Amino acid sequence: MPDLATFQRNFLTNVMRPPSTAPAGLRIHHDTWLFGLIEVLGERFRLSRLALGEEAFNAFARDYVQSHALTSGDRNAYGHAFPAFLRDHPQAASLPWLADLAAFESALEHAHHGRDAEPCALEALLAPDASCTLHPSVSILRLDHDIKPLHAALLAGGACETPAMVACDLLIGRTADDEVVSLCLAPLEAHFLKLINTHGSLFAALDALDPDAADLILLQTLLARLSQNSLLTST
Amino acid sequence: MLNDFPPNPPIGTRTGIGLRAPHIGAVRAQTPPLGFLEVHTENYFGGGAKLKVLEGLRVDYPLSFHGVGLSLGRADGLCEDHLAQVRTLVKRFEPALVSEHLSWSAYAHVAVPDLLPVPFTHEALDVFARHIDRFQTVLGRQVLIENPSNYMIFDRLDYDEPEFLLRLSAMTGCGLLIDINNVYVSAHNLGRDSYAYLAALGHGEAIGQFHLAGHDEAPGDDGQVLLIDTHGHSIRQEVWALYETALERFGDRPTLIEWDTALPDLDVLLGEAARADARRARVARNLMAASHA
Repeated sequence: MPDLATFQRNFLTNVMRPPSTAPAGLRIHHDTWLFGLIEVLGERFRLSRLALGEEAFNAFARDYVQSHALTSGDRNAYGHAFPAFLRDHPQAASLPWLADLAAFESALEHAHHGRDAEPCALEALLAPDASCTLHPSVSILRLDHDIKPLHAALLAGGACETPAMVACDLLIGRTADDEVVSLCLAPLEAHFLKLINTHGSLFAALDALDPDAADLILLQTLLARLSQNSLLTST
Repeated sequence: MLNDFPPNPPIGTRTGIGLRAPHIGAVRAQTPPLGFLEVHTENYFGGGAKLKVLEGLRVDYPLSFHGVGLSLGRADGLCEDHLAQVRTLVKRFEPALVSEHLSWSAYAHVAVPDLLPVPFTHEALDVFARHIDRFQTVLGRQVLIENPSNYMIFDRLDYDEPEFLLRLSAMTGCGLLIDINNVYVSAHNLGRDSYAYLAALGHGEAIGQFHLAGHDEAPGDDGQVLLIDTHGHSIRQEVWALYETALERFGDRPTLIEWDTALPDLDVLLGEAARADARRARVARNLMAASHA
């Protein structure tokens, strides 16, 4: 028996790429790894699986599992790169909306289960030295298709129509009442929100953006909406 | 390393069930008579409504947090972030039981959704003891360690599994969670005697909980049949028999019905829990009668 570290490194390699002569016991661990992670993806991207059909979805999921390791003991966190993977997958080229649907689903999942944080009143966040970030449940998405009608149709079990190509920025997050909200954003607003998280401060984000008077009014309105929905927090 | 932790919160005398998402609504609506609810700890990482739902359930039931992802046997050290998330949950919910596995599932930034087998060597014993000690110290309480299902035999080991578990308990003060189905499955797959396994656990003072679950069959090597711990089937008669022996040998313990795949209606789990309760009561009566004879 080698030392424990060597044993574990070798064992993991064999679980993920079992030799053709692998004993049945090792093949059980291989199947648990492969089909377990395919199932995790299927649960996280339920509507993408529904839209594609089980067989096609599982083929994409298998490719993803074989190229993207689970990196922590929290399997529910697996699959954050799946939408980007689908966007680049040659077999998905004929379904250009698929990556957007997966990204939308992933953001909704994150909004439901992202970490809790105390919301902070806008007045407190406007102090020059105040730190500020978006609530941990928030995702900012750029989608190339109008994905909401497709998502709603799949949820309702209805027919799946091809989404129209309409680029849009979205904020998806969870309010203090655990309601998941989805807000359409202007490109400037999306950029500003990303700057808030980059700089950790409203003032620093405004400094970096240097908006004109009209844009400033737009951003103030946005901040008020976020504050009303408890989507701003102090780090 | 041996810790002296305060006693854990009380747990009901009835058998509990593993709570899975599709049953949450029915449990909330019916509040069936159960000793406790056990959840997979990692399913409550993060935030949102699920934690508030669990807080509501905690009003009616003691909770048990059963971890599947800490990877206590990994050679490269525990994930402190994972540990911190478990600690946050345990502080918030004060569960009656906290448990993890005698297994590993991650090494060097690669993890698998599985409970991988441990070679029972001196080195592995030291690693487990160090990690269990850290786990208990961070939580400020005793944890239970569960015997895994085994599908592979390793050569030249320093301990067998019962001895390894007992040594860990002696070194760290941890309790043991004996999964009766895992004992049965492992004994079948490795060509061992499941009753001898129970006998090797001595008087079982360290045992704090039993698990019961179903298993399935798969083709093994050379035409043999392997048993797979799928948690997707009712409890087999052979496992019930082994459970009764465990009750007779060790006495009554909190018992859990686990069912994770091909999930049936809640009523089926409640029926299994009632069967466990009936066996617990019968064995207790027999033991009492024998002590008075």
